Amino acid sequence: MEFGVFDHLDRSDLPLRDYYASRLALIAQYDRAGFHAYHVAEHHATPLGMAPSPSVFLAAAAQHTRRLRLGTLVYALPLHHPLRMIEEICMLDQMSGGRLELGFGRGSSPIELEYYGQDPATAQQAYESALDLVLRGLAAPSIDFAGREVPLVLEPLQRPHPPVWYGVHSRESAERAAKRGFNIVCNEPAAASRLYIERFREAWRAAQPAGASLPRMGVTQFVVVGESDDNALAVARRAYSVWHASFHYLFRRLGRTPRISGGEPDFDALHRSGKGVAGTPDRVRDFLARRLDAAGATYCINRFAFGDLSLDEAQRSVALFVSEVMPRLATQAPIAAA
Amino acid sequence: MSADAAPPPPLSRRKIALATVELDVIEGGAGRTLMFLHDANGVDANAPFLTQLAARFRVIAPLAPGFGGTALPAWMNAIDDFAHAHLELAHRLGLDRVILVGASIGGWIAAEMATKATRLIDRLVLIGPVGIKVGPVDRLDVPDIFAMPQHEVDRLFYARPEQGRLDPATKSDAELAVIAQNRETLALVTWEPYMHNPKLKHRLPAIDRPTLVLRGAEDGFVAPAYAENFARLVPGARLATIAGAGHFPHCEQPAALVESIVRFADE
Repeated sequence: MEFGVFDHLDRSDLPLRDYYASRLALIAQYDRAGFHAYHVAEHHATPLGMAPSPSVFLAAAAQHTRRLRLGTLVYALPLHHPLRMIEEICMLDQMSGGRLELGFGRGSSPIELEYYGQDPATAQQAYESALDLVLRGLAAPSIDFAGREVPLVLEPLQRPHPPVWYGVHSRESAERAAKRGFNIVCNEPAAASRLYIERFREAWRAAQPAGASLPRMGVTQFVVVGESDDNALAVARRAYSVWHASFHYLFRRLGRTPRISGGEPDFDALHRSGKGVAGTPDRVRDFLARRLDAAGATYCINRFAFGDLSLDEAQRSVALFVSEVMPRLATQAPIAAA
Repeated sequence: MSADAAPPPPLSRRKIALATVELDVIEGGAGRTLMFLHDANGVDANAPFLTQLAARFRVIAPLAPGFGGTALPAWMNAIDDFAHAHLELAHRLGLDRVILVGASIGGWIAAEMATKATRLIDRLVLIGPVGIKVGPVDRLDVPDIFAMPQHEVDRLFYARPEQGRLDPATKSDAELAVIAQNRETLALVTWEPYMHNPKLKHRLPAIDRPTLVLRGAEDGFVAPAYAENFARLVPGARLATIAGAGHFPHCEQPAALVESIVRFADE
């Protein structure tokens, strides 16, 4: 089993400068602890995302880390000029020593797309053509764009390009990701995640050449580890309500409802739906063992920092996770077929 | 200045999907294909003997399910299951003319593979192999390591037991979890019949590829007579000894072990 971190980089109550500094300190802890990768989301015009430029944030994170891989989950491709996307990826991959992991998506919030002048109805199409362009450009010395041949004078360190990730919300998208050999992430309850991961495995076997490496199949969950269940739950409930308010900020501001998951009103409801756990190391370990096994995942991606969790609370939670939970999940691996 | 002064790139570990199981495979190097099947301690991508082999061969070292932190499907419970999985891996990777090297139970797995698919194999190297029983029914051919304290097992296994001894204090909890799982899997697949497949001795004579059996001179687990019997069952097989090593010559004398393999491969 491998372990990673997902982060919306949603706003806490700290002043912005201190907020970024504390997050970088936490990321340095992930690096020391041996997590596989840190994945950051992209959001705009909302307290949900304090990394509207994931590239800027990951550039800073790269300088504070040595082994930890760094990625986006995901770049909202319609909001990036494809040439600039190629350029930034090359810079990041070189400056991090080849530690970049590339998640791309069409942008989960239609409001954010609209602010950038993008039509949400055409976002899927924009994503698909930009994706092809970017992946081709990363491996080529020039690219045809808007009727001109543009020289590409940078290249990524990882060839032909860094590993690619996709957030899966349906069996069809799992199948598409498998055909392209992408790593995948699900943030659904275990049963739904299992459906997508199984579809991914089937499509993978059919589509990929026999010796190809199996991509990572991850599930995400909120995790707070504490010395007692009560203590961890209190912290998780408090912080989640702040995260939840951030998640709904734009929708509430404009009087609209979000299309995708994020609907659990509080941490207890989130836990009941199987997407988060707060408690002692034993409780957290049991929850994760069951979730990972039920989903058939090979990659356990945890949200340790969210809402107004203080740096101290987060660091203690992560430390307990690393010393008490990770070792006991070390030999857990999914059984692919029945 | 030697011609190969630049350090070879480290071996990598990746997952390969077979029909009904996913294998972790350590891979690296270039040249003729050498598949290495590990002993009950698993295998580490940074092991000196492996990096030395990767300087001369394309090394493919799969982890048997249940070892090295990998999953053991509920239906897998025998060495033969590992042999099938590794053969399927070789097929999926399109391997041909493989130098198949196995240590201890890895040697047993390699021997089983060779009895099923000799055409895959260019030559076979068995390091301290187990897997046969040629002695009387009322005596074990190899000592019962499950029925003795660890310090006695260490004396059987290592030319210098203090070097081989596991000190839990020096290992992380994650490493200890993997070590415990390795022992559990070993017990599952070697308990009964103890450390052998009764049919293997009837199948070894069908192997028609050049075979080398290597044994550490101080190996207290696989005795000289046992190794001789093993070699005698494979037509044309040779037996050689690695000085200063016990049951894991690839760990205790990596350079000498690698040299033996290279010389045998070049014949």
